[in-house]
Formats: sequence, structure tokens, C-alpha cells
Amino acid sequence: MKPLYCSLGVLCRYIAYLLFVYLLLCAWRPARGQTTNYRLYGQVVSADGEEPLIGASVLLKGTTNGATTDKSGHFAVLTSDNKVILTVSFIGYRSIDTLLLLPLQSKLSLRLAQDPGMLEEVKVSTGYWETSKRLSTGNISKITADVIEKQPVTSVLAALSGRMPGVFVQTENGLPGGGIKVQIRGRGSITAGTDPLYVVNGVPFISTALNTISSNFQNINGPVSPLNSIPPADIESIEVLKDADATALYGSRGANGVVLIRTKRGNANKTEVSLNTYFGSSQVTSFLRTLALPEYLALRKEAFANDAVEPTKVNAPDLTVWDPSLATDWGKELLGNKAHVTDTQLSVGGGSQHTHFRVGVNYRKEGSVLPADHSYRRSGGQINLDHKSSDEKLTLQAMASFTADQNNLIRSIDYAGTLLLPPNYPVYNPDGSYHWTLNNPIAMLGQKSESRTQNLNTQTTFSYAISKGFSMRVNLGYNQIQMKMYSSLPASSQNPANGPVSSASFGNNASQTMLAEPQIEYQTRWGKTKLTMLTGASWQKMTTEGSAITARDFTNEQMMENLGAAGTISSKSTNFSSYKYASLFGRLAADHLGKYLLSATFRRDGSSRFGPGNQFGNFGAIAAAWIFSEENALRNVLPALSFGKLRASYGITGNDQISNYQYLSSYASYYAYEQMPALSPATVANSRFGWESTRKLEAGMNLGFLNSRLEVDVTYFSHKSDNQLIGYPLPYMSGPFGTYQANFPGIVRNTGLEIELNTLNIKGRNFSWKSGFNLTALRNRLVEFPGLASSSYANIYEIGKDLSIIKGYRFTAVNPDNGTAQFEDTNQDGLLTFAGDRVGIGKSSPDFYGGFSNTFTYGGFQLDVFLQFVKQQVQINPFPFLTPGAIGNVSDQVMGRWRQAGDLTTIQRAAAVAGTPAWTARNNIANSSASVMDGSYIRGKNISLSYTLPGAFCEKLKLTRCHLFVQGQNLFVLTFNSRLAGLDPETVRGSAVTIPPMRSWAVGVNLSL
Amino acid sequence: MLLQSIFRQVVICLILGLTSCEQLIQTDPPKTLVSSEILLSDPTLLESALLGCYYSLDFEGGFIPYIGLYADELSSSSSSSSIPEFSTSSLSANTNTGNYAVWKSLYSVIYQTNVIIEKVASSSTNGDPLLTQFVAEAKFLRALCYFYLVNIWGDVPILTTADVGITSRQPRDPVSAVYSQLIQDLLDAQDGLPTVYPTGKKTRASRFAATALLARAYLYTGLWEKAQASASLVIDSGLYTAAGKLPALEKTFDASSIEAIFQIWNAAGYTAVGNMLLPDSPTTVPTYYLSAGLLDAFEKGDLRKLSWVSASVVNGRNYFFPFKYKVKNSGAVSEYSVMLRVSEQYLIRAQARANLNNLTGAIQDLNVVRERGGLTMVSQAAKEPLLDAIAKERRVELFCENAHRFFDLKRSGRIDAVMSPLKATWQSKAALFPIPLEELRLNSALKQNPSYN
Repeated sequence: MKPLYCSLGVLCRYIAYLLFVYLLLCAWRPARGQTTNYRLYGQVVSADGEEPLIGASVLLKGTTNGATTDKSGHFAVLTSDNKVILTVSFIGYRSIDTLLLLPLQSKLSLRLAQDPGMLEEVKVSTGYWETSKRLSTGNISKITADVIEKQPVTSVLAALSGRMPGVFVQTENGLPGGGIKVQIRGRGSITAGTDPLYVVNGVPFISTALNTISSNFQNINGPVSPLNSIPPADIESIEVLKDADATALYGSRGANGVVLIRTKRGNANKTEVSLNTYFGSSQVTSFLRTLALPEYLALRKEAFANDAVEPTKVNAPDLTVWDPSLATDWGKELLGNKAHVTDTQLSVGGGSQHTHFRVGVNYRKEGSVLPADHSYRRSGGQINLDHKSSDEKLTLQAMASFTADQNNLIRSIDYAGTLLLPPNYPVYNPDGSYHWTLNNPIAMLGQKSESRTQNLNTQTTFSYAISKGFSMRVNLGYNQIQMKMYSSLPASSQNPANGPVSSASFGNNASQTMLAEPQIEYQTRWGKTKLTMLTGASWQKMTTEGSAITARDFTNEQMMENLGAAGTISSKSTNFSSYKYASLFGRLAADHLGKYLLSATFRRDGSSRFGPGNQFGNFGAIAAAWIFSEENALRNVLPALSFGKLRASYGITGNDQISNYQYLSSYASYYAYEQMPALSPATVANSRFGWESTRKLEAGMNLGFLNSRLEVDVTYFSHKSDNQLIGYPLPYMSGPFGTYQANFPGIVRNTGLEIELNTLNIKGRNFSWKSGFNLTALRNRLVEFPGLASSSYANIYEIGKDLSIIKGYRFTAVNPDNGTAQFEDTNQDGLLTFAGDRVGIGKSSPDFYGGFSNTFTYGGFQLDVFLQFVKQQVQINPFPFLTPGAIGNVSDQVMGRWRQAGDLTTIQRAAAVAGTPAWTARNNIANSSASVMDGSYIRGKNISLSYTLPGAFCEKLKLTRCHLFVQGQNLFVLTFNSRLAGLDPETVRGSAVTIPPMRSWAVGVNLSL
Repeated sequence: MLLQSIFRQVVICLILGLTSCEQLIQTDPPKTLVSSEILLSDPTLLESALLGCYYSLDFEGGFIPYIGLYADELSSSSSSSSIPEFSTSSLSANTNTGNYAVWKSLYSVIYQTNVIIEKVASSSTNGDPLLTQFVAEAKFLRALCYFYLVNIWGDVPILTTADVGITSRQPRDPVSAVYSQLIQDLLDAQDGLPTVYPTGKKTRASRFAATALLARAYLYTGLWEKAQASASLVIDSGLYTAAGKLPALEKTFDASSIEAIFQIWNAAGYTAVGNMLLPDSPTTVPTYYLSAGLLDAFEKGDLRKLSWVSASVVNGRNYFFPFKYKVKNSGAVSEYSVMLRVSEQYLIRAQARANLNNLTGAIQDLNVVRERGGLTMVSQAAKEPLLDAIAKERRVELFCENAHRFFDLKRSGRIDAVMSPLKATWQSKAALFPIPLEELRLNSALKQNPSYN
């Protein structure tokens, strides 16, 4: 419960702070007083004329003269002019400018229309139906283009980080094209996928990397997310569906949440040409702080002295052979460059009353922090067309986009293996050849890894209003994504001692998705209740097909991209899989007086991923909401409460994120034996597995105060996943599989609290300050796991604990007498054993996370500052961090190691030679609580400063808009643990330490004409 | 057209209603995979599955250099990957990838052979001569794997089914049970295999391959009579000798080796062991070079030291390396991995005969091997010195091959006595490798070898 308390504490403090700000504001009133001829008196009301607006700002344009409306919506302004432009603005409503001639001839009543840009009026969509945030019964978070555009990121997923409650975004590798993991509301599945379902313009989008067909194509970036091929600047909005009500119509795929991505469409009536371009650079900002050369050499000498072994050319070339004065900073050497970025979009949009269009092209080029000439390039185009027939009965929406990218990288940089080389490790031998006692990262730069992706995305929607309240719609989609891959291992980039030959791999993998979704909607009124009925069907097919060839014995390293120059084809393979999916769905929604809302959804799904007899499943949800602020009784008692809603939902969704054909036992053929094809086992059979299901319960409250100047959303959720689809880990004694697919009666529960606050702290005439804060506190528990003790998971999980539990030995102390690390003998059998003595020593999932945004506007200036934070633990596994003495550099934390009898420290003595007790303890340290530490951080995720040129100035330039901006991403990271010694905790995961998110700066301009 | 087909399917679905959607989600079979259900439908498919077992057996590339370091045959100056732990004979159960790789390879072959053996046993086609031969080959391969498993790790789980629900929870079985199992497999293989090689090459098992391995298994278990009888069957076949003598040293490891009884095929023409052990050029320090002790073990004038050992000269120092396999990555000749050869059979019979007090016969067999080595004949000896002479001969005849040295040290009980003076880090527990920790984690019925954690 601790994280929940923490988050409540933070919430309370935040509310107190906001109250304080509010009191300050109440005390502050705009200055008045000017000698006058006229008294301008009027009232501001809502668009329907029924509701006076209290606290609206009224300003004479071009002056500082103005007023605020009173309890009845009235205001009075004194002025000496007889012709004024009055600007009326109010939070939640569109501002208006009105030209008035004084004195007034009649009573002045100004009507303000509600601004759909304001939070509770924001339109949200589940992909099947649309509603407003106000009337929604489910939980849908949304960000729009204005938030995405502020962030100079390569992948749109990076722009989500910290922006929405319940959505945890983690960079897996900071290089362009690197993987980004999104997890919505915790990990519900023990081993099946926990990726959300991505839907781009209504069509499910592949989320599994295409470069996984062969390990040869897994480059420095690891698996490459296909979502990289959607340019962030093309995106209009991203919606994340979280609860049962919002996700139920995604049935068997909605358990991990749904991410809906919508691209920009034309809407203006006037044809507008718009250019957005920026330039910038990015670089790696933090490296592990390692020992300088003198300290390193001293450490090594100490280690040999401790072990009473003489350093020799063989066991200690760093002490005996290599230059003791020439040091290299490997981090700077390998990742120290600046990567330059250019990003440009050009679009033309417009249309008439019945037809809109938008045509856009985009280009991005990003250099690399690596020392060689590497780059990421992406370009593409998009066409949108929207048309309505003249009787407005038939609507057609069509879009097509094409994006191509090219990523040139190297195959690998092993953080621990290369960035921690001894500082005096020589790159070259005296004769000029590469030195290879350990890895040679400079030689390994010759190992190329290139990929080219092409993504075609099309979608068409026809809808037809058959009669009053009765309409039908068909959504058709097709997308294709193809990746071509090349990677090389020239002999010159490998250790000659291993007898290398030049080899290269060529791969091609493509995925196609087709979707057809007819649906019928009927709207009617039943008394004062509005009823909406929706029914439809969905059919989807996804095919993935590819091939990979590895060839070797190239005689000329310049010719390695030519398969014809290879001596031997060493392996060749093809891959194919087909996935089909069909469903029927229905929804009934009732809205009584805009106060009482009810929604019920049902879906029956069939998936080809399951064996015969297990293919179909039923899913559904019910939800209700009560907008209690609409109750007159309450309105009178609590006038400050402008909006209040209680809502709850419950339902079942499923998860089928497993590989295809897992119900078949199968063989694949990759090799030959005696020139005949040999079959190798590919999958091991189980035909009896079916859906994994998640029961989602949610209750939430949305409150708006003071005409929504303060908005508070609080949500509690509890997701219970059972019938777990487990890739049941198999010991290798059972065969060459690692895992096999099964359903398992394990239960995982994710509970959490999501809090979102949006405030308008200051709304002056020229200056405004808005804040947004979100926080998610999560608790993940393995509730049930029958037979855990005798299963292959016995040493991985524990009942009642987080699924990400880290088990290991409990480090007790470094023995002050001999300097060797000691561990608790938990079962007190006198031995330290893997099975008997490991306990839970931490967990890797976050306790809580969130973001805090602030937007300041002053005249044409806008400053956005966004902080993202995570409270979590990390485990740093590679030995060098905590176990001094072996060849290879270490964290500067080892300066505090044990050196002589009596030293009290947590870092053990230096050990250089295998077989000594301290050396043996190295393994145990890496698997102990000594390797688990606080990895919480606050990241300066984004700062963006923009300036919109005044209209008059733009007109001179014949522009409708001119907008200049400076943006910074990942500017700093604050950690609270010195033991991390310079590492960015976001990219420290267990034994893998990867390149952290880069700090980027960009300067750009956005023009419209 | 695409739209039409989508429309048609959706319309069909809507018409047929909720329960008849099966055909909408019927997928194409995985074009690139072969379902194991159809393995028996075509003998060539089953044969391909069997060939997959042979292919997977190629575990020696990583193992032979490592085991040479672990025992007293090889030295290395490299500090990369698992080498230091093998050099000091102190393997980490947790992180030693070399240890785990061999375990994985051997049990992978066992799974694949179990599929074949089970499939045929459960079918009505039992008795078909071709299928019987495939099963016999599978059993030979399974026995070969168990032979290595039991000698590397001691007690190991005996798995005779492919059902992972059973195999993933199996505890370890005692050494004696493992030997009984593998000997039974070899007896079955002897019955089911023809005396001629199925495809003419020695890269598939024949009855003599099974018999030769059986002789080795009997030798290791001290069943001298049976060891002698089995070895005699192989030797007396005359298939592996040239007029009762061992063929020339040079050709022993060629693809066309006369003396080889069972080899493992490769496409490239060179073996993984050759690739690992041979240096790049005669002027670079080999990653693995022969230990001083092994070099000293060769008697003066031993032709094997000329033919099977070579040296790199770097900075005036000689680094001797094994030169049994002569092809590193390309060459005029092709080489296959030799898993069984007849010279070992002579040494097996010599030891068996000596233990049966047939000293004359033992000396005869020993001399066959010594003769080819260009050494003087042993004329007479008492039993104990003769057994020592045979052990010494095994060391120089079979060095860096099939882990013979390590296994010989263990079965003679001399391993601690030999290793302790050589390595300060040697501990008695090292006679057995640690069970890879990941396997203990995934199968809680497994227990670790003594003194490892």
C-alpha cells in the first residue's frame, strides 16, 4: 500500500498548493481607473442564453482596460472611445471579439459558445463510437497534435511519455529507431504479450518488430518498432482506451488497452499551405562514471596483490603490456558525437462545404552519435479526402499514406563489454592491425546493420444515413509494412584468433493487414432518454511473410552487399504466418437528460491463434455514469462545482498476444545433412489453450471547479487477469524450445489509482498559466498460481508479490576481516544455494509515475515545461559495476571498496583471478540485493518556447500565421541514488544497460499561407 | 477484388450468425513448417527429422577446446567468454555459457530422437524395415548423448519421451541407471542397424558404430568380457583397418578416413573443432595451445607428434597446437568430425584383455597402435605396468578428441592426483560440471552437484 499512500500525499500537497494559488488570484484584481465618457454595461451568457457566465474576462482590445463578470454575469467598463472592440474570454468557451459603437442602443448580451478544446468537452472516440469526455462512461485519455508537435522526437510513442495517467512509456534504446515499450495499467499477463493494441486510422497496426526474423538483424537498437514509420507530425490525436467500457469492443485484444492513432485531415474552408520545419541536434548526456586510468591501474595491482598472483602478460596485459599513461574515454569515443536532425513537413489543406482535402509530404534526417557515418532518414506523403453528398446523407472518408525510412546502424555496442574496456586498452597493435585481447569496438564499427522500411496505409469509410436516426457505415482498411534488412560481419571487424570469415545477412519481412467492419447505428428517443444502438461485424486478416539469407566467404569486403560475391550460402530461411480474426459486436447506450448515462457492450470473437474448439470467446462490459453537477439541488449548494461526474464500469476483455500456430507441433527446415534436408523442431504442441481474459473494474470521479479552472479526475481500477496464456518456460533438457504455450489458472491483479489535475492558474489579459499533473500509482500482484512450488516458475515468482519481483541472495555485508561479500543463508542449511537461499529483493515495475506540465503564454509567446517522473527500483547486473578487480573498467563507486582488514564497506575486495572466494562471490553479488537499488528519477522531458508573430506583421509577409519555436527534449534527469554513478535509470533494466534517451534541441518555424 | 472478397466473407458471417464463423478464421497452414502429425506419412520426412538429430549432434566445436583446457591438455592466454573458468576448472553454474551450450545440444538431440522413437512405436507401421532402421539410428544417437551427459554431469535425468509435460519435471537418475539405459539403446541399435552404412558415408550410424560405442560403454562400466567382445566385432570386421594394421596417420580425420567408424557430416568441408583449434596463421599465437605436460607425454620419435601436432612461432617461441584436424575454414580436402575410430577399439580391447589377464592379447592390441605411431613394440609386461602403458598410449593417441583425456582421468580415479599439482584452483567437485543454474530454476526436481551453488 505504500505507493498509494505516497501518491495520496503528493495529491494532498498539490491540492493545498493550488488552493494557495487560487487565494492569491482571488486577492488580485485588475487595476482600473481611467477618466471616461461612457460606461459600457452588459452581460455574458452561455450560447443557449440560459446560463450567465461568472468570472469571464472582458477587455477592450489593444488596451489594458477591462473587467470580470459578476455573479449574474454582468460587467461594466468605463471608456473614453466611442468605438471599441470588446474581447470576451472565458475558460471552457471560445473567445469572441465584438465591435461596438457607443453609446449602446440596446441591452448588451454577449453569448459565448463552449470550446470543444476544453477538457471536458473534448471529443473522444473508441473507434466504434464517439462521445465527449463529459458524456463518456469509459476511461479514455487523449493527446492532440499540439502536444506532439512540441516534442522533436523520432517515434510518436516517445511523445506519450508521462503525458497520460495509466500509460507507462519506456525507452528501450535511445538511438533513432530504438524500441519504445508502452504498458497500460501494469502487466496483466505472466508471459503473453503486454503490448497494447495499436489501431491507426481504424486499422489494427502490427506492433511486433519485423527485424526479429533472424538474430543477425537485431542491431544495436534491438527490435525496431513498426510504429517508427508513422511520422509524429502527421498525427492529429492519440487516444488511449483503458477500462472495460472503452476496450470491450476490442474483445479478445483489449486486455492490455488500446492506442488509437488518427492522422491529420483537411478541415479548413480556405486553402491553406503550411510549412513546418526544424533543425537540431541530439547527444548522449550521461555515461557511467568510471575510474580514471591511474585509479584503474591501482585497482588492478591491488587485485593481484590481494590474490597473491603475479601480473603477467597473459593475465594482466593492462598492467604489463599496454601504455600505462594513454587513456581513452570509451563512452565519449563511441557515443560522444552530436547527431544532427532536420525535419520538414509541407501540407496543403482546404476544401468546400462538402469536400475537404489535405495533402502532405514529410522528410526527416537524423545523424548518429556513433563515430561512423550513420543516419536515420524518413520521408513520406499522405492524402486525405472527405466528401459529403449534397443531401448530406452519404459521407465518404478516404486516406492513403506512404512512408519510407532507412536506418543505417552498426550491429552492436555491448555497453558492459565495450564501454567498460580498460581505459588504456589499445585499439591498434604497433603494426597497425587491430588489437584483440578483448573486444575491439573500433573494428566492430565495420559491422553494418541497415534496414529500410516501407509502410503503406489506406483506409476508407462510407457512411449513409438511411432515415432519421438510422445509419450504416463500412470501414475498410489495408496496410502493408515491409522491411528490408542487411547486416554484415566483415572478417576485418572480428577477432582473427577466432578464424573469422566475412559473412553477411540479407532479409526481407513484410506484413499485410486487411480489415472490413460494417456497422449499423440506430438512434432514437424514448421519453427523455436518448438511446443509441450499434451493431456490427469485424473481419481482419494479417499475413506476415519473409525470408533471410546468410552468406559467407566473401573474398572482398567491399563486395559484401552483393550476394553473388559470396562463396557459400550458410543459412537460408523463410517465414510465414497468417492470422485471422472475426467478430460480431453490439452496443446499447442510454442518455437520460444528459445526467444519467448507461452503456452495455458485447462482442463475440474468433481468433485463428487458438486450436480447434478454443477459437471463440465472448466479451462484454457495462458502464454507468451520473453527472451529478446537473442536479439542481447540488448546483445551488455548491456553485463553485461546475462539473461533477461519477462513473463505474465492469467487463471482460481478452488477450491473444501469442505467436501463430502454437497449437501445432512442428518442424522447420533450415539445414542440410548429407545434402538432404534436415528438419529441426520449431514448436512443441499444445492444442488445448484458449483466451487469456482480464476482468476490469473501474470507478472514477471527474470534477470541475470554478467553470473548470480546476479539473480533477480520480480513477480507481482493479484488473484481474486469469486463464493465463503462458509461454511456459521449459528447461532445455526437454528440448530446444525454451517455452511452450499453455493456459494456466494463474491470477494476476493490477490495482491502481490514477489522478489527473488540470488547472488554469492565471488567466490575465496578456498572461496565462496552465498546469497539468498526472500520477499513476500501481500495485501488481500474483494472486494465484496453483502448483507454483513444483513448476518451472518456482524460482521466478512468488504468490502475493509483483510479477516483476527480483529474486536473489540477500547481501548482508562485506566481511571486514577478509573483504569478501557475504549473503544471508536464508534456509540456514550452512550453504548458499540457488534454490534455497534466494528471496525477493526488489521489483522492477514502477511504484508510481506521472508527469507535470506547465504552459505559460504571454502575448505571442508560449513556454511549455514538462517534467516526467518515475518511482522505481533498478537492478544493475553486469559485474563491473560492483565487483572490482577483473580486467575492464568499473563504476567509480568501487573507490569505496574494502582494502584492508577492518574496513567496513559494501563493496568487496578487488579480485583478479578466477577461483578465489572473492571471485566466486562476483556471481552472487550480481544476483543479490547489492545489485538492486533505487532508480527513481525526474526527467526534464520537454521544454518548448514558441513565438507567434503578430497578425499585422504576418500580413505584411503575406502569411496567415508565422510561428517560431525552440524545443528541447530529455534535457536533464535527476536521480536520487549516487550508486547509479551517472547512468540513466530508464535504460537500466536487469542485465541490459542500453543507450539512454538522448538530449535533443531543435529550432524551427511553422508558416501558413 | 480484395474488397469483394472481404465483403463476401463479412456478409457470409453475418448471414450464418454467431456460431458459423469458423471458416472466416481458418488460416492457411504454416507454409514454412512441417507439422509433426505428418512425419510418419512419408518416410523421407521421418528421415529428414532423423537427419536433424545428426545435424544437432555437432556440439564438439565449443566443447573440445574447453574440455582440453579443463583437463590438462590445452592452455590459453585468452580471457574471453568462458575460457578463464575452463582454464581454472572452476565453472560457474550460473553464467558459464560453454557448460550450458553442451547440455542444451545433447538434450536437444535426445528430444528429437525421442520424437522419432515414440512416433514409430505408436504407429501401426511398426516392423517396417526402413522405420526400424531409423529407430535404431535414433537410439544410437540417444545413447551417444547419454554417454556424454553421464560422464560430464554424473547423474542426469533419463528422458525417453518427447512429452515436455513429463520431461520438464524429471529428477536426475543415478549413473548406473543411465548406463543401463544407454547400453540397452545400443543393443537395440545393434539389432536394428545394417552392417553397411545406409548412405555409403560413415556419417550415418551402422551396426559397427553402435558396437564400437557399446565397447566403450562396457569399458567404462568395467564389463571387460563384453567390452572385449564388442571391440572384437568391430576390429574383426576388417572394415576399418588396412590388412590388420591401422591406416596412415595423415588421413585419420579426412572425410574419407578408413579408420573412422562414425563421423558427423558438414557442408563446408571443415569441422567446428578444426576451426576452433587451428590458429589463423603460423605466426599468430593460437587461442589454444598444447600444455607442456601433454607435449612431454609423447615418447621420442612418436610420429603422431609430427603428424598431429603443429606449431606457431611467435617471437621465437613455439606454440604447439593440435593438428589432427588440418582444415580451419577452407582447404583442398574435406574433413568430418570423427566420433568413433578403430584405434580406440584396439585400446579398449587392450585394457579389457589386460584386466581379464590376457596380457599377450593386450600387448598385441597396444602394439597395433604403437606401431603406427612409429614406436618400439612392447614385448612383455606385468598387468599393472601394462595398464599404465595403455593409459599413457590413450593419452597420446586420443588427445584433444571426444573428451577422452578428461573421462579417462575420471574413470581411473586419478583426476585429483593429476590435476591438483597442475592447478591451484582445482577442487574435487570439479570432476563433475555444475548443472546449469537456469535448468535448476526451471525444473525444481533437479538437484545441483555437490559443492556447487
